[in-house]
Amino acid sequence: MRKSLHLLTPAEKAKLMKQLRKDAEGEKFFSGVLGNKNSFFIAKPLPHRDASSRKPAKATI
Amino acid sequence: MPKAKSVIPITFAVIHDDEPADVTVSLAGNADVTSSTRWRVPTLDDEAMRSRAADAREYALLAAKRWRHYRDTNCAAHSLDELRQMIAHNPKGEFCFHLKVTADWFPASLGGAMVRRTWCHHLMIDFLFAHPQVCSRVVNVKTIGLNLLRAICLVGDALGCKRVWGEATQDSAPFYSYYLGRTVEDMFVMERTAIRVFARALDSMRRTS
Repeated sequence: MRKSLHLLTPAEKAKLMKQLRKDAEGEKFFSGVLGNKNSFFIAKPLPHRDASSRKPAKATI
Repeated sequence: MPKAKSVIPITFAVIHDDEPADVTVSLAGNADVTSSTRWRVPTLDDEAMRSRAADAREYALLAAKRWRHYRDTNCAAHSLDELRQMIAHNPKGEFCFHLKVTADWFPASLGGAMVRRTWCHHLMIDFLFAHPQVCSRVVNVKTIGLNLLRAICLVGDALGCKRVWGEATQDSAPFYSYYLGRTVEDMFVMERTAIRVFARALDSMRRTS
């Protein structure tokens, strides 16, 4: 738990910044996105069309 | 399933222009997800930064598209309590939630993540993204990605999920490798111990109200 930023003493603020900078050491590895837009797991649901809007099938032999 | 605590929203500090600044992570609602579809790619001379911003925008659009699918099938949770109720009602159901990062010093959300709770009570990260201005460094904010991952673990820990996982790409595998401290190829898996470590790391930074 942490106090509001404006209530931090200079020493507490310095300690917080030290921790935040340590967290940010891996920032160079974050390109801005995680995940895979081409993933099989996030395949789009098939388009759905109501039976009422479907054209009648053509007769074939 | 252990009872989920009120862990979200959570307010904590990140680095903004080399100063600590508070941000809040919470579950997003429909308006939040829709607003992320209006993000724009900033005009930039740096091709690499423009490409990163374009990727972030594309991920936000894809996440919103998936969100609409879950919303329209009544499988999208707008709060942790709602997610718990959905799971209690249908333990084998697949549900989705969307996290957002907001701050009173930035007009839009700073980032978001679309996460699925799978039928076997794992969390899967579909998309995680920073705002195009953040990932192109127009706005100098750090650790949005790391803290969104921690927030997902915080939710997973509160729900008693035994796994958080997702696909890793050539670009994202180094991120997971660095923060998980091990080699990651095309998939990352965090088991309960790692979930708890990440959750506690964020919870320990929580600002008192």
